Amino acid sequence: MDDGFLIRQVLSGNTNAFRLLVVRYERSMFRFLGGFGLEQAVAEDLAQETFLRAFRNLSSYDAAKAKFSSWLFTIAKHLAMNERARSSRSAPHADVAGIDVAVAAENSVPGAHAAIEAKERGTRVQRALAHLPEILRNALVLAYVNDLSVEDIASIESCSVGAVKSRIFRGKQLLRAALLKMED
Amino acid sequence: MDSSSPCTIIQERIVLGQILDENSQSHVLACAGCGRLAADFMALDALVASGIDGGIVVPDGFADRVMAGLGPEAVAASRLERLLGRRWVQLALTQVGLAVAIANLVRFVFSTLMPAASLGGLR
Repeated sequence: MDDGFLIRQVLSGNTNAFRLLVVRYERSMFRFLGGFGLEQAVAEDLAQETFLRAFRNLSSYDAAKAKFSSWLFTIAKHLAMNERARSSRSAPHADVAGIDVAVAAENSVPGAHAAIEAKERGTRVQRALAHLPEILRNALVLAYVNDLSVEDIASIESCSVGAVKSRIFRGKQLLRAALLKMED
Repeated sequence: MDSSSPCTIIQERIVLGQILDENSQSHVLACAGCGRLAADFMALDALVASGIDGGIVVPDGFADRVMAGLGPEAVAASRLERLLGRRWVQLALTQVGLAVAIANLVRFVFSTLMPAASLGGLR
């Protein structure tokens, strides 16, 4: 079942078809929101709000203008950027992820080693991403989310395909430099 | 390096994470510069792809939670919005509005203007 069919079903009153759209995009939605460095609880709230807004405004979605995924991630991006702006205005937060990793490492049991490594990897990537200018970071996060082509990203970011390519190119170079610097 | 040289084009595709055709793959295997860049960015992509979510996961029952959040009010509001968004509904509402406006104008003319004119109130 493609997105168009499910959307038509929802618009004709079959609300349950929306569940399939949620299930289809929930994983990439959480990956995307995670790329903004949000905490789990905040990401859950924003993901839910994204899907609720998508449902409420589904009649205004125009398939001729953008893919459903692009439209959905545009909503999520605006919510995530508002959240980042709101949280940056409040008190700067401690590096909770780093503390979590240290505590977990101290209390580690053999089976938890892989989980700790994954957490450390995530923390390292998040820190490196945080060093990037916002437009480069947005393009990169979108590029690493499944199913989004350069054209999709251009649609979400309201820029040309060439600009997206340039942002991803530059973003990856800076990200690599930031990760190498963190290893030193 | 010339901007249209094979190395530039291939390296751009590597950095963008695009699929390379067989000729390009052969070039990467033979060219030290492109080979090094491919190895670096494959490692970067693997690292970032596995860590970009920052450990954020989809909670169990997330879809159920979203569906529960829709609720009867949201569903009703959404249906009303969809109904109002339909062209024939908008046309019908416009015509009803126009009919009401004309009726009010006629009533005003017959109940206010004409009696006033017959009494010589309008000059």
